[in-house]
Amino acid sequence: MARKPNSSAQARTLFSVMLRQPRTWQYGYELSKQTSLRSGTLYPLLIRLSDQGLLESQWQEPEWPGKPPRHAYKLTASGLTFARTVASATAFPTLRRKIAGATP
Amino acid sequence: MNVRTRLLSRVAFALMAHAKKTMPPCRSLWADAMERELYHTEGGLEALSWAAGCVIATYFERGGHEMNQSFATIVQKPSAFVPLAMSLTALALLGGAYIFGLATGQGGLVREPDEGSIAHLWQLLMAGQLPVLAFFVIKWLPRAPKQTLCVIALQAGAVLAAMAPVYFLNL
Repeated sequence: MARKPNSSAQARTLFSVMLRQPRTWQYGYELSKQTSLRSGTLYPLLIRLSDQGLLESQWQEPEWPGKPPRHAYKLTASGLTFARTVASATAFPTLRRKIAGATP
Repeated sequence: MNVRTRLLSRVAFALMAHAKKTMPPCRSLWADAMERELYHTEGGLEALSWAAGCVIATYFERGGHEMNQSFATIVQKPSAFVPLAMSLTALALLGGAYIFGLATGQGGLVREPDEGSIAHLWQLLMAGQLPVLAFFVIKWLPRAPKQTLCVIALQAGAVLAAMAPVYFLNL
């Protein structure tokens, strides 16, 4: 049984990175570098999001000959909606803090 | 590629092979996905760090997979069904001896002053399942408590069934 979608700090980081290029297929290693999440954190998260239907994956032919095919990931339509909801929920407190800080 | 990088890379691939073995079969695609990324890591240390993370990820997946085991999956584990089978064999042994006793005109099962071979076999079967039962409880109770308790209830039922003739027939 798949666990419920969550909005942990790691998931939020992953969503924010994937939202930068929502239509581009991205690889695990590149996602790990962009999010600074280690493979031990990133892959359980990718697996869970995929189980929940928020992420789609496919095997892609290698860019260089001699290398094996790679597994690439992209947010699904529901994943995009969820990621945007999580992003906005995260952004508003920051915005509120900024406004509060600017007020004399 | 220098010696250090080659060595680190080799260790990374060994770790990844372990990760692939650890991953539950239903998640093997993900183990392959992690392994393929290893070919794209930059440097031996990076590869080692990636592979170590993958080992952790596969252990998490394995733990989660075992936690989600159904009753049917757990009862199929040898440590679950062997004690059940031993109790049922002990019961069948008594049943067989009873029928044989009736057929030969000895009046079913009677208590012998010196315990016969059937009594010894029964005792061996009942005592022999204890270590298997203990192993089953230690291994599965923390991982799937509800399902394990159901299996234990079944095992307890089988033990009681095997003991009932001894009690009721005063053997």
